[in-house]
Amino acid sequence: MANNKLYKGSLATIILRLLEENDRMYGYEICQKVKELTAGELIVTEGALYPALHKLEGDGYLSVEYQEVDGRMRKYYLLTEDGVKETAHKMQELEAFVKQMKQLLDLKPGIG
Amino acid sequence: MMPSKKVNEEQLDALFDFMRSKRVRYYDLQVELVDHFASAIEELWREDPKLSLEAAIHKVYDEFPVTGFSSVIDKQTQAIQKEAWRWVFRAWTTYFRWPKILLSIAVLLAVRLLFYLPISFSLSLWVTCLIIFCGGFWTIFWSKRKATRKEKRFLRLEATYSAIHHFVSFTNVLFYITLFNNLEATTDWIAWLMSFFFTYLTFLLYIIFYRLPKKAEEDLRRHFPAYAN
Repeated sequence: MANNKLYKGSLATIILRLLEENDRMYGYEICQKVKELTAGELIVTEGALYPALHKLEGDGYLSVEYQEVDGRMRKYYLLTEDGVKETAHKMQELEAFVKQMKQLLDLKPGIG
Repeated sequence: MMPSKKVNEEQLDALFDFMRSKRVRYYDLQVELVDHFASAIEELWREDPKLSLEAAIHKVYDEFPVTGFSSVIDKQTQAIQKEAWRWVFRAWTTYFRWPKILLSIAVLLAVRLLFYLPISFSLSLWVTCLIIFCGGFWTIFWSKRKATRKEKRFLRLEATYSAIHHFVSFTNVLFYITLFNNLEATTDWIAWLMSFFFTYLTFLLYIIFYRLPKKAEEDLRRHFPAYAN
C-alpha cells in the first residue's frame, strides 16, 4: 500500500480534479473513485475526506445540491467558477512540484 | 445473479438513530453521513450479504478517526461561517459600487447633517451600540426559536446565527469606546469620517441582521424545501 502521508497535502487537488472530470460527485463516490483509480493503493479516509470537502465548500470552490436516491437524500458536490480556476492553479502547482522532485531525486552527486 | 441488498427505510431510521447517538444533532449533516454509511454498508453486503446491519455500521464507523464525527461537524460549521462572512463582505462592498453608491452618498449626507444637531458623538455611539445589541438580540433569539424545524436542527441555520452572535460580541468594543473615551466631532473632517463610519456600519448591520438570516433560510428552502418556513 502506498504511503498515504505523501498524498495528504494533495487531497484538495485530488478532489478538485475528480470533480472537474465528473461534474458532480458524493462523498462515498469520491472515496471509491480514488481507490479504483489507484487500484486500492491509495485510501482516502472518511475522517480526512469530509473535513476537506467542507473546507473547499467554505472556501467557495464547491457548491452542493441534494437529490433523493434509493429512498435517501444524497449530497452532491460540484465545482464553482472559482473552483474551476483553483483546480487549474492547483494542478499547475502540483505538476511543478512533481517536476522539481523528479529533478531533485534524479540528481546524482558528482564524484571528484 | 441475485440483486444486491439495499438499505431499507427501517434501516435508514436505525442509521439516523446511530448518528444521533454519536452526537451528530444536525439533520443536514446526518443526511450526508447516513448516505455515506448506507452506500458503504451496501458495498459490504455485496461481499457478505449475511453481515448484520449493526456489524456493518460498526465496520464503517471504524473508518472514521477515534474522535468520531467531531472534526466533520467542526469543519462544516467553519465552512458555513466562512461562506456566510464572504457573502456578507460581497454584499457590503456593493454599497461602494454603482448603482448602490448613490444610496450610500444619500445616507452619508443625511448622517453628516445629523452632526449639526446638538447631539454628542458619545451619545450617537451609545445609541449605535444599543441598536446592535437589540438587532443582535432579536436576530439570535428570534431566529434560534425558528432554527428547529419539525423537530430537526439544521447546522446551516445554527452556524449562521452563531456567526451573528460572534459579530455582536465583537461589537462590544464600540461600547467600551463610549465608556472610556470622550470622542466628539471637533473638526469638519472628523465629522465626515464619523458619518462615513456610521453609514457603512448601517449597511453592514442591515446585511448581518436582516439579509444573512434570510439567505440561510433561502439555502434551507433550496436544499430541504420540506423544512423551510
